[in-house]
Amino acid sequence: MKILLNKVKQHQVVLIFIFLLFTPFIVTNIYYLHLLNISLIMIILAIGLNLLTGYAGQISIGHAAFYGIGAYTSAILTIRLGISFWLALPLSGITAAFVGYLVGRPTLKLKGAYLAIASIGIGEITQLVMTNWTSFTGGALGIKGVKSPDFLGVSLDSDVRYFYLLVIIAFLCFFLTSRIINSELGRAFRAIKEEEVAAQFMGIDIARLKVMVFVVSTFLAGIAGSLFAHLEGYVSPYGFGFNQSIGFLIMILAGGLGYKSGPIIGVIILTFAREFFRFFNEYQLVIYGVLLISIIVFMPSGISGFFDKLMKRLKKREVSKHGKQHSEA
Amino acid sequence: MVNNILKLSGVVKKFGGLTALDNLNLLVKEGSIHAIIGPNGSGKTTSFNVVTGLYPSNAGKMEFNNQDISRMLPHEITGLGMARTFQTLFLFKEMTVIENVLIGLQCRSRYSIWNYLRVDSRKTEYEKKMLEKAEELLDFVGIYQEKENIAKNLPYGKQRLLEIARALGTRPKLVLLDEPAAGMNPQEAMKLVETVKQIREKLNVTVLIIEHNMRLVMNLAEKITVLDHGAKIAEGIPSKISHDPKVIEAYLGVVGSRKNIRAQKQLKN
Ligand SMILES: Nc1ncnc2c1ncn2[C@@H]1O[C@H](COP(=O)(O)OP(=O)(O)O)[C@@H](O)[C@H]1O
Ligand SMILES: [Mg+2]
Repeated sequence: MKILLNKVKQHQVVLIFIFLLFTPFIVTNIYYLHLLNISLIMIILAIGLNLLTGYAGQISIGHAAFYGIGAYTSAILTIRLGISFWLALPLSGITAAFVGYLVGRPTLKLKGAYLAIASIGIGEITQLVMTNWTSFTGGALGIKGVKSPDFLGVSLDSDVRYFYLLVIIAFLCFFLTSRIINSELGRAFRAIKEEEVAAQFMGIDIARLKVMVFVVSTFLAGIAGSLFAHLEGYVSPYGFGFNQSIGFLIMILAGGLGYKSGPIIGVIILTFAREFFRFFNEYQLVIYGVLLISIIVFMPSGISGFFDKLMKRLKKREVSKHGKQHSEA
Repeated sequence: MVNNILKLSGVVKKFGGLTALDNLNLLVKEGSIHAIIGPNGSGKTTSFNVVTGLYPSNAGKMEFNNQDISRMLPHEITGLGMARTFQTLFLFKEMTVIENVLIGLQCRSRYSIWNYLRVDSRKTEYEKKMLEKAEELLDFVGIYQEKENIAKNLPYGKQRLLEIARALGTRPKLVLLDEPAAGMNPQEAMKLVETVKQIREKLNVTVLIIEHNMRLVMNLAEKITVLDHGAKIAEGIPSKISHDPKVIEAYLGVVGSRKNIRAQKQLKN
């Protein structure tokens, strides 16, 4: 039964992949395609944040800082040191993860919401460094001229080409984190989220695993940041602040904490909803706010959670119907 | 000579001005069923919390299997082969029953992240084996039919059994049960006695049990340690303990609540 389900899922995945291959031909409006690219980048970050918050139950209110660290690292490495994008990409992830380790190691040892507080702090510090260390970061103007990556001699300098790069990386991140989620390690993360005291008595070194999941999530944020820098062609302090951190949290919350599809759905729906509400001019943010509140009120476990529960209920009804038919026969 | 699997000498635990454990000495024989009793607030649960590394002790030495565990953390002590249940249930409530046991079973995993990113064909076989073991344990405590249910939806008594199964999943040499019969009806409690006996007989696990229900304790334990105000006031075989004047006084001394008077009656029976 389980194997069968997996096979169905495999087919689904192949279908989605084929659909994505044709997306640039469907979404011909280059502006929407660009928005889709930004969404894919945010999905990579949100996947990591969902692993941290949705599965392991740890809250970071400063993830945009790691996004920014990744973006600046990539910009500085490729422009100042002439390093190839393909090397700068993992190095951006590693740099963000290293800062994540420095923040997480002391705070996650302690009980309580120290990570949440420290992550606000690192968010503020990052902003200060970005805006004030002008010689290094370019200050408020940022760094311009971040180049598009080359792939086998082809420059990925259009949104269409970049889209394919992003799809592949996002898929990779999704699969690798899914593998973690489905493993013993994923179960251990959930155990920490649900009952930290008991988790320790299941042989789980909770301090170590919390740091581990935080490092993974900051790594993904760094990767996302690098991809963002090379898509936009420049980096500036704008977009890596507190508001953006909260924005990421809202996305995974609306999508469904602790659901694999949560980050994808949350990012896509909120990004595009906000865009379509432009139509309402000055009421845009009001309507967007109403949407957020409705999701939280009517779908407390997020959009993915809502549909997951709905499907389960339908399935149950079907099973009980069949059961009745059997007993009648 | 029988080995002492657990040895506490002079263990002290203070909460601010309150001495919850007062110079506690305790020897638990390997292969025995050993009970700790005492009035409410006498430090029974605290003794478990200190032994298992949840709270650091203020003084004293603790040895498990001749190994010093005085400064170890809970996950390290679990790895050595000591498991526990909680008086106030600490199940993974949103997980299924079988997942709760699986977490116990995986307690010696090293959680190196690279292991889980790799594809490994032996993994499915390993997982199948774990599932089988988990099912065996659920069967052992008698809640196999609940395996796919969400833990928080189980009735209270079954939640207690699930905690035991989960603890046994860590393959302990010694298991500490904190009032496992609390909240159970008489039939359930009777079945629990059998289960605890089998933990020792079939699984060869030493049992240290805290229990309020006197009849149950007398039925089960080979040796009883009595705590009062964090100190040991008596120790010995059940028949001796039930006639010990100090014990009777300790139970009556706690402002004759109905529960304690009942306990007193049970003691005399
Ligand atoms: N974490 C704690 N902080 C402060 N006091 C505690 C704590 N745990 C237990 N105590 C106190 O220690 C004493 C012994 O408690 P406990 O070990 O739970 O008793 P028992 O299990 O025998 O009923 C009680 O007075 C209790 O209030
Ligand atoms: Mg207690």
